[in-house]
Amino acid sequence: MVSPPKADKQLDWYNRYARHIALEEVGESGQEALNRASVLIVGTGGLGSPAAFYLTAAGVGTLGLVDYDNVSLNNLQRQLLHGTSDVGRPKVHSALETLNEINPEVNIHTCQEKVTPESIWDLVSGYDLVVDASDNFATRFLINDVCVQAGRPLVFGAVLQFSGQVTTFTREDDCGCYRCLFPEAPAPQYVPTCEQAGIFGAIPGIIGTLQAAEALKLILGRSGHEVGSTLKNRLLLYDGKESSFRTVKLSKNPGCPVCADPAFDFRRVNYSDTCALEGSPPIPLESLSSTDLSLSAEAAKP
Amino acid sequence: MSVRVEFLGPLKQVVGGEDIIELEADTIAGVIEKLNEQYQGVTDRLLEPEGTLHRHINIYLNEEDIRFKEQLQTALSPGDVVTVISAIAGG
Repeated sequence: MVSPPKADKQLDWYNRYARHIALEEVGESGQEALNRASVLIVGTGGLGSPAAFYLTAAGVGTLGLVDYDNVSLNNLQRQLLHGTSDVGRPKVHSALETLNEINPEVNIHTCQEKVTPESIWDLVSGYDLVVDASDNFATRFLINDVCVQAGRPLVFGAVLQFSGQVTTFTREDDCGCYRCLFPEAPAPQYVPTCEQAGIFGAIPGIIGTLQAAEALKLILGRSGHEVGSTLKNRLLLYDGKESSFRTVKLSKNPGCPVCADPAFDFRRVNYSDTCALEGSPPIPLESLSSTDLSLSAEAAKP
Repeated sequence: MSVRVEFLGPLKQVVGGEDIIELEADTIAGVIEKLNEQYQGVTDRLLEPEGTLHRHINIYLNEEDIRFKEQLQTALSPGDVVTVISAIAGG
């Protein structure tokens, strides 16, 4: 964690964060709140790069980086934490070096492991909030489910081709989770990966930067600083071909088997397939009306 | 009644890359039926074989998820905007 300003470091602290401190919404106390905060970023690729850059530059006290992968040449078109000389090295190593240069005061923890149901609880529960910058559905559902169970806010972002999606699950009572948005992962033939379908390089830059902004606003908001609205209960959609943003309403599903079920346990879920929940067979849409949604925690989804 | 339908993101290829499609329909189910007449395979991309919405597909009526309205039987009004998106996972 970044130390609170002391006499000998005070001038540097004011200088480094002067543009934040100058903001009425942030000020010295907001910057100190950022310095005390801890954020886990899952993935140091296209989304994780800009998110980590901005959270580090902003002086978030402790940053956790998880990524099992090594740097490949085809990463460099968009994954700005890593350089040409890093090809073949663990991503978390090059990320650490890059970020240390940006702001050596940030305490950065790296973990070069796959995120698994066995490992994720200790990771997530050790941080104030989580940024999902992963690249596959299984990991995304796992992160969501664990964040719900651990009570950690989650900033979600995803990209494909020219498109991006961002939202923030705050863990407040009136805010849902990723499974309220998409209850299960699609079968692989329905949604391609970036490797299969491509990704326009700047798109994850835009979406990952929005994730960083959401994370910073969450930290500030939770420490009593008024910085407007997060994307709580809204899904922001970016169309890079049209250069347009739009939002749709994100509703909490009162029958969500994860965030509406206090007995939910992610350890009972198989995350290798469609991340379906045991005992939650698909419910024919026609069998549910909007009023049914409030009836049963056993209803897997509307 | 005339409504406007938009497919966002990679799903746009399902309707030949069209940005906005104007058509006549009374319900969301009617929209899908009309689209399937114009663009082969729309039904398969949006619905399970038994006729329910794929769980990775969301349809919004004027920015509200139809799962929280009357599902595929959600009624439409003239000028409504229907937006179709898919879950994506790239990062």
